[in-house]
Amino acid sequence: MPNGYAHLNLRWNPFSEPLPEDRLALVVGDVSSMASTLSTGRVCIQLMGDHGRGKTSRLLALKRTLGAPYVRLRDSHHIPAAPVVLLDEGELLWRRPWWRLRRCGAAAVSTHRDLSVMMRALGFSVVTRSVRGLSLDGLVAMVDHRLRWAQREEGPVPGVPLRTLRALLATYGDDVRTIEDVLYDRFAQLEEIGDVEV
Amino acid sequence: MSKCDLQLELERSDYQAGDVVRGVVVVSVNQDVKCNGLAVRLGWRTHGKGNRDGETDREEIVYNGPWSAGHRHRYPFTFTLPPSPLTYHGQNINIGWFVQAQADIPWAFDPKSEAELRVARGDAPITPPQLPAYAQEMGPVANIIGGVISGFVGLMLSGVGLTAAGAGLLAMVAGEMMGIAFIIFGGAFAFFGVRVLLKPIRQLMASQRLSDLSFQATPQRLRPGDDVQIDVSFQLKADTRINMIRVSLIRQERATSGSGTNKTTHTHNATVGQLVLREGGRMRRAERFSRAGALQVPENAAPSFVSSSNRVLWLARLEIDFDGWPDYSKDIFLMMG
Repeated sequence: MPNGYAHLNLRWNPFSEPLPEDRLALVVGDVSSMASTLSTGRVCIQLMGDHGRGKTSRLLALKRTLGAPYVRLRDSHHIPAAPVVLLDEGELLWRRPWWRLRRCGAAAVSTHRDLSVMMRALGFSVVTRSVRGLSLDGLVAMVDHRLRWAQREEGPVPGVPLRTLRALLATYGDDVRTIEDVLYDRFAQLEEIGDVEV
Repeated sequence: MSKCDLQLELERSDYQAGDVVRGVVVVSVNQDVKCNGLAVRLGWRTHGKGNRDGETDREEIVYNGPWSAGHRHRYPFTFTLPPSPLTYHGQNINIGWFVQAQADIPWAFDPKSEAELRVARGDAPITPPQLPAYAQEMGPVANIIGGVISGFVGLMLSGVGLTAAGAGLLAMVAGEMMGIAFIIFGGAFAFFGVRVLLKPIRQLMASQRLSDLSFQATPQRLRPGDDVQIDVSFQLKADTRINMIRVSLIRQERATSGSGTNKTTHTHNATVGQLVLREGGRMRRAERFSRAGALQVPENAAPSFVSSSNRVLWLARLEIDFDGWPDYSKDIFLMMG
């Protein structure tokens, strides 16, 4: 890619790794029902699913919707007292001051392990949401967000047609991270503005 | 409407390292406002498959004070570009330079403007960065320790996996459907364990065919257009058919995304030159192989680059392809300035 991405009217590859603050703006997904649930009282929503399925993205979408504090438990020992708190990598909660969750009103936790026993002991009622499945609409919205984020200036940019997105879903299912990797490689090979094919 | 808008005007967008970047920040004031500092920064950043790294090389405060509505102000600035890093566009890693202007406005979003530059190699020599630990030459003891650790981890993973899978199978025989989960879980562990175990085993097997191996690539500090002198010699411990012996000059990009359990390293190797030292034929036990040659570094070779999550490294890779036996491979990392 000798000219970078300027010849595609892009500042960078749309599927490159974003800065943490940019990632918040790129999150796609309607979390309104989860946001409503978190406002009903002392409830904990645990988001369970494999790597790369969008658990962190959903927590970030909740952060954007509710303005609640987001804590990545791998990096932080601090659980703030807040009406709603968002915890990422909840399977590490036992190594953190989990008792501080008593000061929180509600929580949403991403986890690979079922935390319902711990959460009930802390006085939460627990709702488990399985994070899997990526719809075509969701993928279209994600690609659209990414292209707008990477766009250099007004004007045409490469497109990802529906047939490409359907093919990606058929091959990779709900593995968002792998789909992003494939699209990254396709964009890196583009020599002119046009459609991305797989 | 924002209280003020910023626009950057640069003399040009193409530079060489060491050049002076001249420009102007144009401020259009929409409302009376106090500026607590109009900063202009020169910096670089990476973008690609790895986490973004970056650095502000220089910063200058060009103004501090009040602005009146309806006015336009121009603030010139100059920066001198350092010798490195250079603008780079690869597969997994890109490095770009920029100038950014930002005004610190109390009780408002700080307006900012940014302009990109392209920075090519200049006259000043580039000091290559310190190689990361994995790229440094390890002694034989360290190599053995590394192999033992890999083997141990592989054995543990395989052992756990096979035990779980075995337990799952017994459970299924006893009529417990939960056994399927153990078979799948155990199978995955065993698969990864065997993969981890296989690499040092294959390398060990390959090296068992060789004795008195010497592989040199000199000089190890290089500039574009230089020749890398390659010397390879070894003896065989058994009669062996050789498919190929070659040395490749490779530009390697390693970009790491995420952190913790979500960390992934994306590696891309681009072969920019190849020296075939032997193709086909049979060698006898105790026969000595000794060949030398040179690989030329391209004139547009990018300098080595190391940051937290992104590395552009150069290496010479020796590959001995034995017929019907695991291949042998060894890397010598080079420093490109």
